[in-house]
Amino acid sequence: MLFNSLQFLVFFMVITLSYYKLKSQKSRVNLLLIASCYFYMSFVPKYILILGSTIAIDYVAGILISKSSGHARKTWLVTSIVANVGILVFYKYFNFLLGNIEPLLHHIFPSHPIPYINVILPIGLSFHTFQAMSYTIEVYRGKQPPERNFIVYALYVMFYPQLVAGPIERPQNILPQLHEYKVYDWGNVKEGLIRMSWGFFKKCVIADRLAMEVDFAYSHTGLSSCSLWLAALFYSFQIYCDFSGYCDIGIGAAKVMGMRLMENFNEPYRSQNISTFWSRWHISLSSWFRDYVYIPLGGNRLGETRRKLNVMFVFLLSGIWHGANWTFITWGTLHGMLTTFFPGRKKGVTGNFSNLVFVCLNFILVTLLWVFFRAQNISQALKYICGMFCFRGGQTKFGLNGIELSLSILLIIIMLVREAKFPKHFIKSDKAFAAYLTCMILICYFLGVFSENHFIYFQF
Amino acid sequence: MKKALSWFFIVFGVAVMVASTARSLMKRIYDKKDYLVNTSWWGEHISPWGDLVYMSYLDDIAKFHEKGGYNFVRPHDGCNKNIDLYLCGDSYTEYIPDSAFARIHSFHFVRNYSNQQIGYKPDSSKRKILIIETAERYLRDYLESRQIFDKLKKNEIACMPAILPRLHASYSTFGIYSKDIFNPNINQNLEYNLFNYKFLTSIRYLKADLNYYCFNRASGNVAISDNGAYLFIRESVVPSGIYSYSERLSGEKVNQMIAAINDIYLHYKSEGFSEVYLAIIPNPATILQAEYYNQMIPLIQNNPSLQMPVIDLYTVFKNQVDPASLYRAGDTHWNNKGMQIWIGKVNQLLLRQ
Repeated sequence: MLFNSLQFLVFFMVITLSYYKLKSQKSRVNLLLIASCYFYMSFVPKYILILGSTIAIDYVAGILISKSSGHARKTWLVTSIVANVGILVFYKYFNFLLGNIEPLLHHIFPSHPIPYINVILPIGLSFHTFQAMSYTIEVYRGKQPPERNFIVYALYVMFYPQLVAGPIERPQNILPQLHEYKVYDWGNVKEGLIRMSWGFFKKCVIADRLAMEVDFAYSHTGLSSCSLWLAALFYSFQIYCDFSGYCDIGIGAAKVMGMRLMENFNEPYRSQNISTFWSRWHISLSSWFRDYVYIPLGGNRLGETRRKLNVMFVFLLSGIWHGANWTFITWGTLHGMLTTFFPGRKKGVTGNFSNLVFVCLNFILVTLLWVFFRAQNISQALKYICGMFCFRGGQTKFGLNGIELSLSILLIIIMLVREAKFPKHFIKSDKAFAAYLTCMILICYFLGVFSENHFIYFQF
Repeated sequence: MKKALSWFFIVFGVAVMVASTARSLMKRIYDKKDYLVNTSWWGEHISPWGDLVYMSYLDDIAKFHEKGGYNFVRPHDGCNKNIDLYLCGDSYTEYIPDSAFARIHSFHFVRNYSNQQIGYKPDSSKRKILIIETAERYLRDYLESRQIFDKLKKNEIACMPAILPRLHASYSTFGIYSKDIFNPNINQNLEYNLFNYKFLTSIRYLKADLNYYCFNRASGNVAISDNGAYLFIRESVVPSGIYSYSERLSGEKVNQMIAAINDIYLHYKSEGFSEVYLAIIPNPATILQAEYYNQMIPLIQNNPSLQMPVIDLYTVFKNQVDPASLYRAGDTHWNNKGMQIWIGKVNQLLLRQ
């Protein structure tokens, strides 16, 4: 079930109203779990079995880790991680790995066909696998008591507002909230609805409109550098509005029910270097890698060379996490190299103009790297980047007409200003709230692009 | 008051979800809102100018105004009616009556995009002809899903009527079936149940006109041709996807399609059909906006490995002096002239001894 669908709007209305009708937390948790199962099964029903099996494994592993000590404790943790990573590798990377060793396999077994598996990647697999792993790791570290209630644990992994594309939550944030009875609070409802409407605006009005221009540029050859630059810049905003729009809807939907989810974005395009960009972009994933990979590898405690290697490794993993394609691996590696070898400006160096220059330079760099993320393969990415810097020849054609291109730029400016100057999603006055919501609904309806576009991060 | 309202919205939400999920209930709703029987304010919106105009709410745009309607003429075929004609087709051919075909002893139509099957009895005294007709954009889908294989069952009486009144005809009773729970069409159904009413059309016209006049776009699954004169179904003109008319086809992909077509041909030949033909109806964009075309039809029809004989409409349409006169401007389908050319080609085959 996509957030930007009628099905979700009706589903959300029914579930939220029913949630507040229930008088005990136990029944609320049961309701949310059933709702989350339906939400997930609306994509491909049978994949609930995979999710269910990882939930069962991690639930048992959590209890066994807490009961054991020493070597056995570590064994249970490793078992749980191997099971999670194993499922992820099988569904996400098996065919990719086979494809890469195909010539070797042909050489060894010339008469045997390559045993590719015919499966579709379960939606949001990387997200809920990482969320499940953070639970067992935290239990192992003793920072989180094991969850004894299976339903509550299952809901921790499956809570529908963050199930398929994050934020990748930590048990310390979610599990206590699932035990706490939330009293109806009109302020939470207003804030949640405002946040949701902002998310719909970013997704339906901005991201899906920019997608038409971006798709046009990536599916046509012989375009001029001007066309390619515009589409590349648009893609930077498309992916931001798409993913942060999803998070806004999810965080807002949870807020309406009184639940707090972690923030996933903090104006990433205002960063002055790549390191800062990663502390503002997909924060839940960056902090996951920091807490569970970078710091256990030694972080910056084992010298500069080791720190650089750790950073490179984390970014390589981040690229692989995004998808089984060399484009994602290249994208992650390039980010790692830039973070490692081009450190940020020294603290104390300030000045509005120089800040602006660095923000612009960093944004252009990020935009160029997004080309690898968007392209179907490395060859297309390289051709695209060459085209961007080949200032002669090519047709200047766009997927949108002049009015819509101008409108797109205006919408991006509105979005940036709104997030920089009015970051809060709260309006005190009920009348102003009603007026705001009505305006947002009208804008989303009349300016929205509705063609059942998936969120980009659903594929991960 | 708040309590009553919240209960109302829960009940309303559940009811609309159930109605949009259960195919049997949707069938009832379709029947109740059908534009042919319901002309009141809550009847469904319909456009006389074609399905694409209807889908995109572009009724106000005069250039897409072209009424439909087909004329069927009985061919001169003498009295030797010895052909059992089976037509496995789609919306292009489903309304053609048996009287339009020559030398027909019996005529049976089965939709290739539904779960329908029809039976047939091998009878050596008759020329038993099967025509597999498909719109170009669905061909790859049909071949990959191999659903054309199961359309005809041997040794069963051919009992389906030649013309069926409506889709979803098999769901005649109330009830929710297990396969309904995750109905893939739920969003279209919700949209139909919540917003497809005559009294709401002015709001939708406003959005459609805004898109058309300001952004030169059509709403929903409809695209405007480069020259602005036609509407196309969007999925057929997007750069990639199984329905795309411009996605590049690799040699391997074409070979797979040829192999699947040959399988179908050999299957039905071995089942007792004396002649089996393939008829691919070109997408409107294939003929009217040919510069992006991936050449799928010629790649198939001219492939030396293809065993199934074809009713070649592509070449005829492509060589027309005025190809624009073959399709309706605001519809996915051909107009009367386009259909008559196809019927003429079929009758040439039927009249051949």
